[in-house]
Amino acid sequence: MFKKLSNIGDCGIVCDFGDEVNQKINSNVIKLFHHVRKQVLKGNLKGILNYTPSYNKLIINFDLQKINSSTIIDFLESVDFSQLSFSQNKKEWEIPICYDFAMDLKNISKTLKIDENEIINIHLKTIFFIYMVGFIPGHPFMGDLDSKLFLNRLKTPRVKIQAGSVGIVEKFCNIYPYESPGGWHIIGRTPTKLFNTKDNSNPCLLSPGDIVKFKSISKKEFENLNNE
Amino acid sequence: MNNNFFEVLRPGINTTYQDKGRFHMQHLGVAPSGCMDQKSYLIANKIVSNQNQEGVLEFAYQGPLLKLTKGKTKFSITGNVIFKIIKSNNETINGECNRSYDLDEKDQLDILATKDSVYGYLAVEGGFAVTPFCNSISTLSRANIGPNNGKKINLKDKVFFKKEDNKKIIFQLMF
Repeated sequence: MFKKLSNIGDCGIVCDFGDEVNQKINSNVIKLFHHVRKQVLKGNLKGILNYTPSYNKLIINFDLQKINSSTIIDFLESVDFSQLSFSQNKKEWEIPICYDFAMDLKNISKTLKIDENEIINIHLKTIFFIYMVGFIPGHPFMGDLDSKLFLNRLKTPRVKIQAGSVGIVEKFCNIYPYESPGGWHIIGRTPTKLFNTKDNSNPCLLSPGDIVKFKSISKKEFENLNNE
Repeated sequence: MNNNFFEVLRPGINTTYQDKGRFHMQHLGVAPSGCMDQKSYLIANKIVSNQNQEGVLEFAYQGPLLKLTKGKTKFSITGNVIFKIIKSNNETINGECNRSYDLDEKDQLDILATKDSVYGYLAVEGGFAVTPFCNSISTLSRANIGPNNGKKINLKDKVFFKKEDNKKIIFQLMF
């Protein structure tokens, strides 16, 4: 299913699935990711350290002292994609969002000439698919947003964005789990904690391939949930 | 806590707890972290007969000034580091890298700088008493992951050791 396998450094392999960003290609990436992860956790592939899926690539990092790249390439080439599925790992989430914390809603409304409430409606109606998690722990990249809301990144990125902020750019939507710099248009904030550093077994709420829907809440509900 | 500890009199520029790294989590956005110079890290642990994956303190450019407030310890510093041991009677010893030293109570360890390099490592016999997160004690300060709430070492922090005083152990064995 992948178009190309190549080495990335002396202890990494990149599986290239193409250059487009769409759910069909990304589903294949996630299927292969789950397959590799399962084999590693079973102990069949000793020496693999990380398996990182993105929109259309999967990078596998390994320990050169325990395994070499040709063993992994042989394994990857023998994978039968028709046998793989990830439906059993797929979860659906409803994430509360408070639009009162929007920083850019007015500007978006001005540039796109769409009413603020209409933007919120489109965002609430969208069923988001998580393409990948990355950049900072627990940070999801979700799609696909209605093409009416297509926006480029901010000309000048913000140095600091509050934790929980929900941003949109192009056809993607994200949630910042930590205070961080960012160049996305912020349209709201969620009280949900996406990453828990106290939980050793399952620290991250969202995984690649999950489905997310947003639920609008008031500022008061936000504060109640945030203090929990 | 009963354990022996260092008190931090000067934290240094970027002093963090690190080990081999935190793996199998990059698909959740958790970078592996870990020691920048794995070879020096391994040597630091070996010299004080620790296990290979034991946590160490990593410092960059300027290291910390530590005072052994309680207990005794054996330590090693690796990399290319200029450091001094200031004994409690104000006698100073210029330290050499890649060997072990004994430190007594009230002694100070002044890690001045790394020479023609960036990172250096401090390991103590038995390792540091810190809680691992997902099988690693490596610090990822961007996401507050790791010991010390995921932050670098600060002034007046206490750096605890796993190992208790040798005397106490002998005492317990005798009776």
